[in-house]
Amino acid sequence: MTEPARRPDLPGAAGSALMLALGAAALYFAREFSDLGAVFPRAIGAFLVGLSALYIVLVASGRTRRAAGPAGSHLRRAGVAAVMLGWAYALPALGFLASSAVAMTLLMLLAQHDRWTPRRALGVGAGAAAVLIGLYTLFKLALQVPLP
Amino acid sequence: MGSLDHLLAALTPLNLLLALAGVVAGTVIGALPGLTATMAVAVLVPFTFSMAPAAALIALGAIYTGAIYGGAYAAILLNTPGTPSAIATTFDGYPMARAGRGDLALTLACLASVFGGLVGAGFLLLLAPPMAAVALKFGPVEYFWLAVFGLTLIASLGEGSTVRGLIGGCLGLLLSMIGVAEVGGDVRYVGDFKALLGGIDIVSALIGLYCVPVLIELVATPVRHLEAANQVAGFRLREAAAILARAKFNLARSAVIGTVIGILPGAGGSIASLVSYSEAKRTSPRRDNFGRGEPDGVLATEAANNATVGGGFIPTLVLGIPGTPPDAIILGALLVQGIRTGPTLFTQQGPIVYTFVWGLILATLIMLPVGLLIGRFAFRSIVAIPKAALVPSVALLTVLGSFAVHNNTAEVQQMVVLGVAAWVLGQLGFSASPIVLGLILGSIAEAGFVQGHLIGGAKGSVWAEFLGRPISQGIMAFILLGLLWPWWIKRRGVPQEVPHD
Repeated sequence: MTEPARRPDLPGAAGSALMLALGAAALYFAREFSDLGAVFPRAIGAFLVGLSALYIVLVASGRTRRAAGPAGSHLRRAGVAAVMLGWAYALPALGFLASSAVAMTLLMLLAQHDRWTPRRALGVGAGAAAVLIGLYTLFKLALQVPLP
Repeated sequence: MGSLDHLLAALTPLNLLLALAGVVAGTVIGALPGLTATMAVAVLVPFTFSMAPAAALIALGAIYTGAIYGGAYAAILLNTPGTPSAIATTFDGYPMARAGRGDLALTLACLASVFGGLVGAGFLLLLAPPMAAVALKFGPVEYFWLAVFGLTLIASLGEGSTVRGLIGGCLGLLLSMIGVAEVGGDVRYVGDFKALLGGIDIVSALIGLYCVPVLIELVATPVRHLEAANQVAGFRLREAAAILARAKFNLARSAVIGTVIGILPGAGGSIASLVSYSEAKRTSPRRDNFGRGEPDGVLATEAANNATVGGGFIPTLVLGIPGTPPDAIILGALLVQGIRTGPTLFTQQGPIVYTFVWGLILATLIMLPVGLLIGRFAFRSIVAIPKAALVPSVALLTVLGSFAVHNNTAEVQQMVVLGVAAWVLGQLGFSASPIVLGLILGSIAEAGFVQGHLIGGAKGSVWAEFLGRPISQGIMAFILLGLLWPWWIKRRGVPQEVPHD
């Protein structure tokens, strides 16, 4: 197997720039804390800034290697992220059963790559419904978790 | 009443049945992401109030030990630690499952858990009082150094870049500071989000950081999520036994680390498994395989986290100080039963305590067949389920698990936001494990550091407080060893064993 071409880790540098900004923000807001409460945030914020700057320098000097990007559909990935976020924020308003039924259906559609057949749709749908009702019963009735 | 009498007292049909039921219930609850061993014990503790004290203790010990082991299932098959104790099990367990060796990983986890559980219970039986006395010598500074020791593992979790790993660790440490500070009471990094006042819940964060990125990647391609084990039937016990025989020192060391860390109040299974993983990696001739499906990684973490069960009972029973959170609940149950814990417990109520210890040993042994059977069923089920059913089901578990910790929808939102952020960071080359490590160890490190700083200031020398205590010096020696050992090995040019995957 041949060694992949050495490319600068630009995504890593972008992430490091983001972390550098986070570290700087941590240091900035630590000004408002008491001396006791600011010791650790200051130390860690400074470490984060320093390490992030170091990684950017390493990328600029060509001493890092970029990992191969993931294969597959970015649209489906974004879809799962959107559904999960929507589910979490709709939970208080719609309630557990309604929000879960909608989100699980959408996730089912996103996860299925082959053509849907009536039999497959029925099987997967019934399975997911059984999991939803089973876990709802377990948590709500057996474990007394007050689901919304 | 001798040891044989205590063993026979533990061997009554009722006690055996309770141990079996406890192990099964604990394993199932522990396997569900978000339902921790603490929750398993808390939910089931009321059932024990009407039982005889020894029987109640056996049931609770069995639930606890089963739940700690159960956490390995989700860690290995879904890359989501069922309990925080199983965090480090994901490092090598999931890569093993991805490579079609999930059944072997589950068998190894079961065998290591039983071994670790027996070692912990053995220490409880033989050495409880002297070891509890040692635990009392741990002050804030020792906890700080212990947390730093755990953090040194970050250097090996950067997946190709130590600097990226350290950046992730710093991010985790910053996340651990969100909310009201444990020392000083400052409200930090909360902004207008009142839901963050209590800080980021570890369990919800774990579920989000580990599970959501896996869900996002699962849907991207039509390829199978896990490889089925090819041409191998049964539990792969012979193969597992050979690995265990080769890794006997790793197992013994991890079990002792788990027991000792279990004794330390507040430390618990997650730190025990991380420290033992770090030590296993440091000393292994196959250290480059760690994180890529190395069986020794699974053995180390599972032996250590189950050893904390017996270890945690030592300060609980001898001093009345719970070693781990589930021990705190069991301590409450003991008080309900009218049992006063303390140094005289082993002499004044010896029959109850020793019957319980033997019951714990029996429950751990029962975990062997139960764990192997449940593990095989879980592996076959997860492999066979189509993605279209698996993804929504696992997503539902993440939502339920993160909600059930404190019955709070804000924690579900935290879980998803952290999970999506972890996926984005993963695309930029930052893995979740260093972030998790920083998040878990941050509060222990900070509390120890600030308290040590205050104590040292009051005594007149902060440096002497941090560097002059014998136990601290011992831990510092291990930290230096952990950091310098890989560098030294590299300089000496010691060859690595050929990967067997």
